[in-house]
Amino acid sequence: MTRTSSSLRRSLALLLLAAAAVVPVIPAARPAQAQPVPSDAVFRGFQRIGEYVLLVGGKEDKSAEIYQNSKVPAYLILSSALPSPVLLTPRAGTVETVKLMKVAKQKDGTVDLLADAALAPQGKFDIKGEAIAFTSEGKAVTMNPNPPLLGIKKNADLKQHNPEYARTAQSYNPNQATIAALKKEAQPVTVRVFFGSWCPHCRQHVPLLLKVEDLLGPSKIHFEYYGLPRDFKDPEAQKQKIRGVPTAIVYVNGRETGRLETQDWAAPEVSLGKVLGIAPAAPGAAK
Amino acid sequence: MTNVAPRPRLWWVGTIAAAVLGIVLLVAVWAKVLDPAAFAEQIRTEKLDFLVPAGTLALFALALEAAFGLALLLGVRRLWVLVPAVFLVTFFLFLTGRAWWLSAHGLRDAAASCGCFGNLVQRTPAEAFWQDLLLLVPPVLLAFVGRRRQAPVIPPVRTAVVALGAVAVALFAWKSPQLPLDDLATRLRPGVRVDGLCAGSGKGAVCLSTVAGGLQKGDNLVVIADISKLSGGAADPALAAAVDQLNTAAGNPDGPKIWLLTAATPEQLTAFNWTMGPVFQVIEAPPELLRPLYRQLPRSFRVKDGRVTETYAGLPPPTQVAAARNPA
Repeated sequence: MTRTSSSLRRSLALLLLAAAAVVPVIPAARPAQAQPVPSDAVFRGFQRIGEYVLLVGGKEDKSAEIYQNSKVPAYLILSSALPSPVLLTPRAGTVETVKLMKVAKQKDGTVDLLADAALAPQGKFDIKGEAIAFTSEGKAVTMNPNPPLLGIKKNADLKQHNPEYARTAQSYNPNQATIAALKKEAQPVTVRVFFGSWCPHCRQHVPLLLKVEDLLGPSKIHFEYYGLPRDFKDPEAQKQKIRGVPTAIVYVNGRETGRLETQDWAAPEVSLGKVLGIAPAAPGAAK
Repeated sequence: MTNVAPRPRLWWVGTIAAAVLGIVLLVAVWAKVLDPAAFAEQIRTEKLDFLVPAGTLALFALALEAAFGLALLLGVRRLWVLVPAVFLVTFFLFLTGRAWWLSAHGLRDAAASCGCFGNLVQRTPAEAFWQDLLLLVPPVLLAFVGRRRQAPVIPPVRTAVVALGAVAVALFAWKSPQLPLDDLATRLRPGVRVDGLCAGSGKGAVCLSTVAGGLQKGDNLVVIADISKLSGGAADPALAAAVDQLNTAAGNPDGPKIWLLTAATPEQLTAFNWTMGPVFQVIEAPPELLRPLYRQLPRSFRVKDGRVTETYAGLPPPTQVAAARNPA
């Protein structure tokens, strides 16, 4: 009995030790999945953004996720380098922490705070140029502007760099007749898009072409995206006389046949069709 | 029987040339008198306000330009009119020529903007120089042709008209910012379409529909504002109150969509977003596109399906915002 209970205690202790060893391995920033408590009425629907990178103690946390609420001015930061998720409230300028278990990730990728989430004040944030700096639970944190994407990139790179690109692309419904016509394009076409990941208008327009590329799938039309710095000082951009972004150059059989500039981006598939000599669909055909 | 001297040969050439120059100057005065603040901005850009404040200088320059324009239109071709007119034309050419030189050597700072778009000027500094040269120099030179030398130096009636006109222009310019002339003085007025409000030319033109594509559809309430005052972190109380109102309006799914258009640097935009906490669309637009749309900031307007339906001096009236909150 004594031996049995002693071995039971040993087994229990081993189990506890094993559990204790495993717990720190679980990512600190994984929000609650099961949601017995309803979401907060205000702090819900946070969407992931790509405008900032997170530095904790001067070191970039590449796994950090920064979310913004579109209904109330609020940002939520989930980082394994921070003890708790951080809620930043512009206007009030406040920094607050919330328990990880009170953060719920939704199926659509948005994040909610639970209704019973308690916020722990951590002080105020500072605005330093384009960066936001604050201290949370003793850790110095800075949100720096996401460095620009430079050079040739692919569709997925843009979506990864800024999740907003993926969201905008997903919500865009291009003209299906034009997409069908573009799929039938027989000549090899390259569409090189000069863009600035820092440029708000590229954020608005380039995702539309990403969606077009997604819908075209394997076709004769090849897309590449060329990221420029803010000062446009790039030999390729200068060679191609790029004056503004986004600008797409369309090459057919290696020869430039046209460009998509400012006004052409409202429906890029239609503009691309025009450059390639595909008759645009009748007004109202766009869905 | 009065003794009238015969008209000199080619009198009509000089008279027509003077009238043409007079009309050109008066048209230029009209364009500037409606928005003297924009003219004062130009004076500051050209760094001509080293002795007198730009606003005061703008009024004085407008009165002077109007006086010469009127005198030439009324056929007062005395040396006291023509010689200063030559100096005025030379000065204008000097300014446009200098702008061309500075721009060609990359010495003129670009206005604050997001940096997405290239040069959006309607006419390049070189075009401005050559246009001014062709429009101003021939008439000012031809205005010397066929003058009546024995005519009185100061024709009393016409000189009085010129003096009165100049004073009237200065007074009008002084008061015009307070007068409800925004729709007349700017390109933004009820009836215009947002895809017709553009800066630049050709394929590179940027229109309001380019920077804010959503204005083409549905009901939209737009504010054009200067957010640069916030760059130091200090909030303008009036704008802060307005942002609160607009945030509330933006939260109403049945109300118009709320937009704020601004020509701002990324730093200014960061300061605005984090100090004021807007939850409506804040769109950076090139200053070349926005400047012709207002005389004073803020200015607001309503857009329905891409067409401007109403404009408001300042922020949207509370009734409009309230309507956005509580649609009937």
